[in-house]
Amino acid sequence: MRADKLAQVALAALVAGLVVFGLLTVGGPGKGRMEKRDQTRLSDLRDLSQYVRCVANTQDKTLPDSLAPVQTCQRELRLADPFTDAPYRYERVSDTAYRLCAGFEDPAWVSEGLIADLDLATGCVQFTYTP
Amino acid sequence: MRPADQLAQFVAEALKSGRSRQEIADALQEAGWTQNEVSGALGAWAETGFTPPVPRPRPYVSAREAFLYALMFLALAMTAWNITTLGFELIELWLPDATDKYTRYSAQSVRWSVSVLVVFFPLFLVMNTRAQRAARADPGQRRSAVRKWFGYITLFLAAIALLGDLIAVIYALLSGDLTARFIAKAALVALTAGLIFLYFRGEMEEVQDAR
Repeated sequence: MRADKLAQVALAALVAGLVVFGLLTVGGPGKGRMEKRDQTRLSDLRDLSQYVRCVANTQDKTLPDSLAPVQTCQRELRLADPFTDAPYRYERVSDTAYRLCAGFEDPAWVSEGLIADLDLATGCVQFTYTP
Repeated sequence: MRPADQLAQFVAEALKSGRSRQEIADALQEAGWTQNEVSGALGAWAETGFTPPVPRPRPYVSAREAFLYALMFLALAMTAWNITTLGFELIELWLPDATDKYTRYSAQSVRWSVSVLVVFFPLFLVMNTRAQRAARADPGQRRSAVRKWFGYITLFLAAIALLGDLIAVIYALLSGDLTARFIAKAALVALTAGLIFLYFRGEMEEVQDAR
């Protein structure tokens, strides 16, 4: 085989191999959609965290017991997972810490790329509040 | 004087001295010019009895050829660039390096490179195969200036990439960065540039043969 023909075949093999390994690594369109859903869940938890801070700031610097609506912090909030309709969970851990949880589909991916302090087993993120 | 100018001058002088078009065509073909080149050279002069021969208006460079080769060149450049970005991402994932914690694998970048390769690499293969087939059918096309220029620009860029790669390896060796990760990346760059270089050197040798 001539050198240029060989080079063409080798180039094609290189591209095909990289594309296949690339897709095996990042996953197909299903994995992509899963990542988008998990991103939405995390973004919802961050919104809820802001809300909790707002409630605490306007109510004697104490963390609320639940995510019940409050007159002083009016905002658009999603209280349940828009894909599974399971409600997000809120727990008050102490006077200065609270926890927000969601049913992440790929917690390992979320904790690796988006938020390091995610509890992989429960899907909970712990936040601190300094009055 | 360029070969094309010589050819045009020869045809003009032959017509002026009263040679028939058939005689000129036979003489040129005997000298090794292809059918297309001969008819192109003769077609440059209007078929009237007027002397000196009257030139027909003609474009300088084939715009269609320039379009095709520019697209092919772009497809090859995008392919080469994305082979290395995609390969680098995979190498960063597979070969952890404690001293290089700021470059980390990004799924977005992998997806983007896969998308680019899926579009541009087949485009390059198809266009290149067609260009080669056309050149084989009409060897005169190998003398095309556009084809030569794109071929040599590609060779030049591939050579620059190889030399730059070598410099980077020596620099990394001296500054203690020659890790497995770095060697794998340098090898990928060398492989890509080397394959493209080999490939176009073969193409350009054909051009030399066709002269």
